[in-house]
Amino acid sequence: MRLALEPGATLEPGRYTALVAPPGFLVDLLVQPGVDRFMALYLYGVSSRVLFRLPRRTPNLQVQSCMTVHQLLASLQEVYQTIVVVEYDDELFSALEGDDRDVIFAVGRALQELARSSAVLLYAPRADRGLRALLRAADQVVWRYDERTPAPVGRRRGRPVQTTLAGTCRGGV
Amino acid sequence: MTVRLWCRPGVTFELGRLKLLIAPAERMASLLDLPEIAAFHALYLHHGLSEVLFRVPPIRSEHFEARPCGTLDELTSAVRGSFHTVLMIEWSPALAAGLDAEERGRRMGRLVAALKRRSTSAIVIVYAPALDGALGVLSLAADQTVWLVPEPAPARATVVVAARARGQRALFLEAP
Repeated sequence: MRLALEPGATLEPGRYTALVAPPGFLVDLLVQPGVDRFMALYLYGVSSRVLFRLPRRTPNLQVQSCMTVHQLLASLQEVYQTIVVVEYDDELFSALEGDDRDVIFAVGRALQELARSSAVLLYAPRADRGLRALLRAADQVVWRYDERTPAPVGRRRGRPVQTTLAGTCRGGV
Repeated sequence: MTVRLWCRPGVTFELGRLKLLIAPAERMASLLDLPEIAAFHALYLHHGLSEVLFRVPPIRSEHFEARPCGTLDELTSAVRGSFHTVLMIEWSPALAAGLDAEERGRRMGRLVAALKRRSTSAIVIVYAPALDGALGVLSLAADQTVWLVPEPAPARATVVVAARARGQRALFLEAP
């Protein structure tokens, strides 16, 4: 079972893959006909940035929400599906500090172990501190980045931006 | 002291892990621009003309060395004989061209073993702009494969405006 992420980069059992990309990219992956042929599980946190973008005729996904990292860890230990997609939720992971952060490494190890029997994909739209720990454990990282340089910050030409109403109503109403 | 080359948040190159980087040449050039490259003994191995080196200003450090390798065996022996803290290899498909599958597998196995051994004491990065069959062998053996894929730029506004202008009808047709 192989799903193409990029020409040459595939999602397959035996390799824990992390994907950092805009949500539309994951949507395109999930609507591939190959996903329908296997049992697939989609785990997400409090809310998903991807699921609502899926077309009405959605692929055969089992969807499960995890409200805490421990719940995510427990779900990962019970997985029997062939394809497992985990949507990283920064709300779950950013609250962890100090010794509590050990659970993040436990999630990384669980994803690594799960990859021996299933195709495992960790998805995040961008990287933060919690995700960095999970990326370290990945066998493969696919990162789609925007190569456009940000617009230079400088003085805007034309009229200045309105700051107060008083500025516009001077001598008026 | 831990030496680490930062590429992206969560994507770093450090001692003890053999990493394969598939990215545009500019990304590799930005790695060579890091101050650590001039501060540590660094070896850059490439085949023929490098696609990366000309993109960075000349690295004026006595610790940096760039060396061309003509064949796969030459590359393997250069890796074995290196002592540098940072070892970068720019992969070229020409290195494995013309070899039959069995011979290619054997020679790539030797290269992978040499890279694995070196990665215990050095930062080892194998760079390629695209994956090919021989590099696929290395990708399976590497500790991590990193793909940096640029997002395609959106269509330019001028093209959109031109398309809209083509769809415009004459005003007199609109009038009753």
